[in-house]
Amino acid sequence: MGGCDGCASSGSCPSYSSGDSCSTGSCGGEKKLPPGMLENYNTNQSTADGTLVFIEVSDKKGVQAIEPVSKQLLGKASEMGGGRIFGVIFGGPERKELYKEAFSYGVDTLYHVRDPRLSTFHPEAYAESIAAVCERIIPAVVLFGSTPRGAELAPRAAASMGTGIVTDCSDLAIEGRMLSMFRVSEGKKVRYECVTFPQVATVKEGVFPSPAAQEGRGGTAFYWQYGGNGFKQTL
Amino acid sequence: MDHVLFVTGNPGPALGVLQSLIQDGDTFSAVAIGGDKLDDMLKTCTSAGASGIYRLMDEGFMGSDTWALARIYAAFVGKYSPDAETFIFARHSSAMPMLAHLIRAQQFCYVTEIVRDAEGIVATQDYGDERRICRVPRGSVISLKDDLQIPFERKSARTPDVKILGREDIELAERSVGFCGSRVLAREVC
Repeated sequence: MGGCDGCASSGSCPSYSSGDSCSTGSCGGEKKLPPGMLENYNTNQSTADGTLVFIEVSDKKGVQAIEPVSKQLLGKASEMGGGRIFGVIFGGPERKELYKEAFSYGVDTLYHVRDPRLSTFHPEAYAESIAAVCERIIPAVVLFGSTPRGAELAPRAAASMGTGIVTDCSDLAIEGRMLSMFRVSEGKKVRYECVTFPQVATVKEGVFPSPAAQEGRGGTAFYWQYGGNGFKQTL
Repeated sequence: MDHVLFVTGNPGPALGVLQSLIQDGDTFSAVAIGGDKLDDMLKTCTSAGASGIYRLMDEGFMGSDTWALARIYAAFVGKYSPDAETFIFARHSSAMPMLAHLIRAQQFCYVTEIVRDAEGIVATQDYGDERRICRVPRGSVISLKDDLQIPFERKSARTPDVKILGREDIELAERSVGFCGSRVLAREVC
């Protein structure tokens, strides 16, 4: 006998009389799927995917370099395998020299917020830009190095995206889209989860090992225009 | 109130900074979130010249993460001090940049010195590898560098009562902060 208990009581399902299995979704039994649909999808879950890493650049005596903690975060993101790895970098056209290095440490897609004024750290402008990039790429995870600049920027960027943050993580693990963020609190290792997307975390330098560069690895770079006015007046 | 001091640790250096910043007729208030253990620190602020001391405490604040804490600070600012010249944190905390975003203000972290000149306030920031001097617009949020040593002068022996404000006093919705309003939850102790 096809159909279900609901069909039997209401007689509303055309499959009931023909002996086929119920496929209309009109009955109140277990099978409620529309024709042709084999699985029930949870349409309320986030579609966020991938990891965005803030690539911090040091400019010492005119020599620019990616901060070691950013490389370590890229290595960890690659190891976790949580989808595509995005990078965001700030500054003028001179930052182009760092693209290859960023790709070699695992960046698949690099967003370069290109404005010479952003070679200097402006947290308001950086946070606005990161929020705008995240609105475009919808990453599940956003990682920052827990440097003085990263620790200042990450909470503002998280607030711009209406999400939470776990700072100074001692470990990270990802399952599907959900990031487990571990932090040592009063001598105990505590696992935190963020209930909103993206999940933002900061990690200190040296927590994760520095990965080996994969020479010749390629990626895609996009220029991003910052149109806001979040610049500080420096004297 | 012209300045607001958020007490997130030893308020001593922040009180020294405020005393050098305040002009005749200016006032400042000290605010902390938490239990009555904070009252001693708040009373220290009174002895250094604070015109009001507030402690934000409510059952509904329990379990707040940094996002929820920032919302509590922002609600206080909106209700009691929307026109303050500066909001100063005694030390860097993640809630500080979040508050700056929520009240649409500029943020100045790791500040080692604040002075007033003819045009307003100027802050010196120390990022370790860079020192930066910036003009501070009205309504900015400032946090001081952690290891700052600035003495303050005890000006008053009076110790007024700590005003305790709850969730409804600062007009926060029931589930907007605390466990329900937090974005980050502790899941397990490993």
